[in-house]
Amino acid sequence: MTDPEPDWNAMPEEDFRRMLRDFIEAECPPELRYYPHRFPPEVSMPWYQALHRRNFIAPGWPVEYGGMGLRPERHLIFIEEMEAAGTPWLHDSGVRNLGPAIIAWGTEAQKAHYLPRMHSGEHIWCQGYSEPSAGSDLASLQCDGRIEGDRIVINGQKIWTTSAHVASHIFALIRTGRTGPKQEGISFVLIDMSLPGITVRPIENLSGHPDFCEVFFDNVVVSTDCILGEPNKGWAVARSLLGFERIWAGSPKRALKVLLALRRLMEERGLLASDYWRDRLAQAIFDTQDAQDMYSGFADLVRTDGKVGVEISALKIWSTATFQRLSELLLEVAGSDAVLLGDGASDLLTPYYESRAPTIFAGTNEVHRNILARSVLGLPKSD
Amino acid sequence: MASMDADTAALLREAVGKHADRTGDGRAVRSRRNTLPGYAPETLAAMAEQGWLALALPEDAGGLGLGVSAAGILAEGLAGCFGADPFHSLFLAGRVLTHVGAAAELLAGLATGETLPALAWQENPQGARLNPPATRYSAGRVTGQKAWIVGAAGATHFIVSASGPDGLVLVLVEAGASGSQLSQAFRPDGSPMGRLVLDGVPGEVLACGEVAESALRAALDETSVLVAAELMGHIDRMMAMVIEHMKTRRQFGRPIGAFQALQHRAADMFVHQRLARAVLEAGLTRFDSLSDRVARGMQSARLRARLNDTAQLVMRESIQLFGAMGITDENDLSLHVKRCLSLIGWLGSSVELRGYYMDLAGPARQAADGRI
Repeated sequence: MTDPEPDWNAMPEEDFRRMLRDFIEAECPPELRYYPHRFPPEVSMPWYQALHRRNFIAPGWPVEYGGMGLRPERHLIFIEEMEAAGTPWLHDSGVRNLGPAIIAWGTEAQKAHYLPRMHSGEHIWCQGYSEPSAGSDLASLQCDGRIEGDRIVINGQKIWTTSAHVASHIFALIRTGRTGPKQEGISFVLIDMSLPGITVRPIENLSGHPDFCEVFFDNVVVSTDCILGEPNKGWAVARSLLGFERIWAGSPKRALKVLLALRRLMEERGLLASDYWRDRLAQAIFDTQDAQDMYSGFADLVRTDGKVGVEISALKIWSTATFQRLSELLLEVAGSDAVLLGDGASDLLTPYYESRAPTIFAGTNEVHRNILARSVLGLPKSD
Repeated sequence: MASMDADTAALLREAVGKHADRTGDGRAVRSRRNTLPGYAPETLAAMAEQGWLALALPEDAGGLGLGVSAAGILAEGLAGCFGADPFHSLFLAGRVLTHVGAAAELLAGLATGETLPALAWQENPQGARLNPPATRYSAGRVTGQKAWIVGAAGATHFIVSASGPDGLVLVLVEAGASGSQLSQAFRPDGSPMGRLVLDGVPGEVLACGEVAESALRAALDETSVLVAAELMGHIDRMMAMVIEHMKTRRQFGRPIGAFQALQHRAADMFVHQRLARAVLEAGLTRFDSLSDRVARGMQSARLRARLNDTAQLVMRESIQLFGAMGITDENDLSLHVKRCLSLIGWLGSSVELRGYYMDLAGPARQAADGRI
């Protein structure tokens, strides 16, 4: 790098926004904008690499690792500008989820190897957690890892693995120990998906897109150097990452996107002359902006305390439910257009489909209610 | 207004906590229902003595020059006494007087609790939009009717909004002046609300036109935030009571809080409680530094609507989870429920506030772009 980067947090907000807009204008091809699904990585890669070159691909990472070191409010502004300009969704589970965990738990060698490669888009990561018999009850996972000296031999299956069909790597929870409580004996393993013995089968989702997959492991051999954190202590790593994931899962950005579409559609149809539709829009604005206040509050806590408390479940529940409500309101506003399949950006059903998964992934909202009842409210164990 | 440092906030929180421990007595609250002025004289004296009435008054008039964020801490803590009266009405009047730059002696009397002004602005139950009042001011005299006046009982003065020759006028009228008639109705918590009939009552003009309008609007927005803060205090206390009940009440051989159906209801209450808390904290933190009147109005409306709605939800669910005990007056839950009922419709129900917000958002503002 030549010039030192400015302090993005200290820059006046309007300058920061203008800087981002100029950057997007210059670097993000118009044909990639406002597309409601994920492109295959090779299509969106020019944009990914532009973000990488400018060190904008991991806005939440510390500056020393090629991040922007953005504080939560700034990060939200970053997301707002990206959304407003319709920049494409990326296969960025690596920089978003795994990166912070490697920064927190990784060895120097792991940091040096993995961080730059996920930053550049050379490695595309997916997350291998769920199994056919371990969904909400994740800790009962069975995908087997036999440690033999300095290598692990992996056999078993993962399912609902987002982007596995395009990923080069998978970070997976593997059972390496079978004594003690089920949370013990799990290792967090970083696996190259080009290794022999790995098979991926895409699953078509409600909207007709192969967004998630089954992943099969048949005598897959990796080095024990690929374990993040201690062997058999992967649950703690996964939990810390679930914290980041929950912040992410609780981000109001998806609801915000629908809100923009709602307002646009109501204006186009002249509905805002009616008190009824004005009130519905105001409710949607309040629900979303209030979610932003909660998100910023939790993100601040993460910044100051370095961890996510159990109360974060409230954010996940609220933001994902708001996303669903708004997507359903969009269909109401659309009237008869809601029953037509559109294509590309005009597809009104897309937010409806997209908002079904978030109440299920990263812990179903029901699991989060259990967490709140037991760990926050201190209610007795139910049986 | 000066922003508040963390030490001041902690001191205020501690002081109001002690005050609530001392005076938060359900029996005393019940005994004062449907009486005038609806609060104990000691309460007013204590508020004056601790400087709470001077909190948001300008420093050159003997006030502390603190903002809504400081007053919000007190309002929230006063929920521990089952109600904040007469704090809100004196804050409301004090803010109007501050915004119009009223005479220092008037403000000084307010700080000590010797002068008790009440704002008489409302003529219509849907009051959030400030339409020109039907009350008229001309040739030094006011004629008209005002209702829903909090703090009217025991007031020494009324600040009356009226239509004058050049638009809105704020007029200071002495309580009991000839030609004025004051009557009282009661809110669900037993506290009074005044109705004032004025027939050619002499009054002194405090402000008119744009100054009067923006002073009135600003004071209403600020006090609405205070009401929201008090609602937060009630929400927390109702939640604590109902969770305790769920841990101790046994049915079918176990605490009812062990049933997952009820746990999930409680968890949803918590989601809303936590959301309301986040919105209140963020709103109080930024409110005093918002210089734009439109931004303050939008912030106030959004914050207050969230607290209104959360209070309704927590009231409904708490009563349900308490079972038959939830519908008794004897349960102190009832004091919080009735107080919330007394507050929720005052200075804007949620639907009115959303309308007000959308008026302010207007076509020029990008209301839906995620910014306030």
